[in-house]
Formats: sequence, C-alpha cells, structure tokens
Amino acid sequence: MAKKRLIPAMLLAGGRLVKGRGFADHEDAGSPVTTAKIYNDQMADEIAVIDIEATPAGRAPDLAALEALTARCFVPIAFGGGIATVETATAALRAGADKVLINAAALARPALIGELAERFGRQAVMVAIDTVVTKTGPRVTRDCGRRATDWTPLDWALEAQRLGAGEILLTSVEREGRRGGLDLPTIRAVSERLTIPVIAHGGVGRLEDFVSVFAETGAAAVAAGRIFQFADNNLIKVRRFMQQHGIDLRTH
Amino acid sequence: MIAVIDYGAGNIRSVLNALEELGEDAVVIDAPEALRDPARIILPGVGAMAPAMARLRERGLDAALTEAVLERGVPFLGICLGMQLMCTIGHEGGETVRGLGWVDGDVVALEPAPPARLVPHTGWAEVVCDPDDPLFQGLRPGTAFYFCHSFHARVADPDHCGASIDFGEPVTVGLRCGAALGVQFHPERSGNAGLRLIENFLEWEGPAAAQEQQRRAGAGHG
Repeated sequence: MAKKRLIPAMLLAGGRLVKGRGFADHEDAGSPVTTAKIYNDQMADEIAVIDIEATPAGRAPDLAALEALTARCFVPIAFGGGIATVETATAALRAGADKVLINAAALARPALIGELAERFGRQAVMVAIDTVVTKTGPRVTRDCGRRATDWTPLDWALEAQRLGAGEILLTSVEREGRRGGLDLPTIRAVSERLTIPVIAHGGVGRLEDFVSVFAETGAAAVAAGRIFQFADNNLIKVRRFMQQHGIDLRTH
Repeated sequence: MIAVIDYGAGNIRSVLNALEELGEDAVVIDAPEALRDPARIILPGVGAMAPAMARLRERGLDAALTEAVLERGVPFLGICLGMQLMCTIGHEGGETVRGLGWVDGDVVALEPAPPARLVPHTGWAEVVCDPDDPLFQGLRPGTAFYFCHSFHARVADPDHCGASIDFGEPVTVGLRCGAALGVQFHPERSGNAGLRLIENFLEWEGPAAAQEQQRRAGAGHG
C-alpha cells in the first residue's frame, strides 16, 4: 500500500519560482531548477509545478522551465497551468511531467478529463480544485480563485473521478500562502467519499498541520509551498517530525 | 548502446534523464530496424495496454522486440506498462488485449477498497523482493519505490515473479523470464533507490550468466 506523500508545490511565473497569498501578491522565491533539485535531494515524494501565468494570459504553459527543472529530478513531477488540450498535455508529458494537472479547462469542458484519461491512463490525470468557504458552504472557484461556482468540492471531485481523474489536488484559496492551517472539514468531506487519492493543499503553517491532516482526514498526500520556501523548515525537518508522529512516509 | 523504445505511450524523458545521470548513452528507437544491435532494451510506458500494443504493432516493434529478447537474449527492462506488456493478455473494461506474450500471465484492474486501497495506486510502496533478483542487488530490504498504476500483472509461474508489494493482498510488481525483466513501479522516479536499480539492470550480464551461476551453485552443493 502506498505510503503518505509530502509534496512541495512550486508556482512558476516568468521562469521564476514565486509564492503569493490567497492566489495574489506573488513575490520571487528563487530559481525553479535549483529549488527542484533541493526538493529531490531532500526526498520529496513528488513535486507539483504550476505555471500560474499560462491560463490568465491565455498562453501555452512554460515547458522550457518544466524541462529544465525535471532534468536532474528523479521523483515524480505533476505539471499544470494552461493545459486545455490533449496536444498540450502530450507536450507536457514529453517535457518530463509524469502527470498533468488541469483546473480551469476541466471546469469549462469536463470531457477533457476523459479524453486525457483515455489517452494517457487515469493515473496521469490530476484535477486541481480550488475551494472557498461561502455562507452556503464550501464551493469550487474558477478564474484563479476569484469566482465561486455552484459546484460543491465533493460533487465536482466525484464528477471528476467519474470522468477519469486519477487524483485530486484540493486547494483552499483563502488559506493558500497564509500558513493558518488546512481546511480540514472540506478535505475530510472530499477524501472520505473518493476512491482516488486526494492531495490536501493550502494553509500549512505549523509542523502539526502535516500530522493532523492524516489523523483527521482521508488525504493520501499533503502539499505545501510557503513553509518550504520562506520559513525555517525544510523537507528533512518536516519528514522527521511526521515520522516521529507516526505518519508512514518512505524512509530511504 | 541502450535502446529506449518510444512508441508514443508516455514519458520517455525521465528514463533518458536517469540514464544520462548514470553516464550511459541511450538511443531513442521507434522502428524495428534500429533493434538489430542494441546492448540492452528499455520499454517504458504508461496508460492502457490496448492502444500501446496497437502502437507497437503499427511500427512492427512487437515482433522485433520478441526476436531480440527471446531469440537473441538481449537484456530487457519493462517499466510500468512496459512490464505489463510482457504478459500474455490484459483485461481492460470488458475487452481482452493480447500482450507480447513472453510471460504466462494476465493484467487486471486493481480493485479499490477505501480508505487504504485507493486506485490509481499512487505513491511510494515497500517492495518485497527475491534477494537473488538481479535488479535488487545492494538495495536494503523494505526499500520503497514510486508506483502510479491502475492495473497489475498476475503470473501463472511463481518463478516469473521477482518482487511484490502488500496491497491488502500480495501484488506482483516484478517480472523475470529469461532476458526479460520488468517492474511495475517507476525506477526513473524512485530517487536514489531507483537509479541503483537501473544501474543493476545495466550491469546485469543476462540470463546466460545467471544460468551459469545457478549451475555452478548447484554443482557446489552436490
């Protein structure tokens, strides 16, 4: 049975690694190639890489950046941002991604999920879901977290799973980059009903957050960005803490 | 020369990156003529068996691979789907697909049983291997490798199973049959342990040497 996974999330803009708060106010966080290599050497279980400029700018994803950062990486890479067709997904996989991550394009045209799953197998298709908590409960957002849709995270995740998604990256827009803790109720609601893995993302701030997400939800993995990029915590320290608290991670 | 087969079934870049990291020259092969003289063959691939077999056949690679591996004994490593293709048949969505047919066995879907058994089976899992298996030499017991698959192989002859994982029940994740070896996980995405496994494959002298070793060991005991 697969162990739990610790996944650093890297956001790309202008060929650089960036990090923001609540999907805005991005600042430079270093070289993507160097950072990916460090994550590789510190035994990241997987790395999620998202070109955050591609969809808003209506352009193809930065595959040159992907290719450069995967060259010395020997852990799996999930790549997304601007992937809206089978052709773009093919190019991303050929550039070194193991999985493609789709979000806006899947909401706009859900059939894309099935087309990708048929072509590459569902294990290569990760659907990213950005959520907010509204007065009427949690909702899926579109337009980079700016607009709430009618979908509840659970309903959209179930639909994505039915259409062929192999994995769900569940991100809390409000909590992303703020280090105030993950949205455990939403993560629990989604992960308890799915038969595909759910990656919890958005809001990790303390070492305890890496433990409680597995104790209190059915998440298969946890992803985080800011805590690795701007705080005095590296993957080695986080892994050790998680293992000391009984989380089953790979050890060598 | 290491031949990496490109038949449009997913990510060959990471396999090439791993070979480069190990200082090996690799050639990407997509036509049977180029399979006349390789030292070793790697068959990567992700996804479903049916389109993958169709693409191998279109290019005439199925017959060329069988000839190279079964008749000439060229050491072969199948990765993920590349391992599954070594089997006789696959069952996918009610359809039956013929594989390369080197190993008597079939490929079937993994059954999910949440919360522990999620499918696709994605992530790092500890592999139980035969300590004599050439691929796992020098690797610590309980080493984890990266998996990402929805189907798995079942072999008729237990000697063809070189490694397994605990997925609620034992699941075969390593195949071996003559010159052909296969792993369900992705060594090219399994960190240092994966690079070591690929290195082991590159150093493996092949079934003839293995048989000779066995014969000597047998004589020694006798």
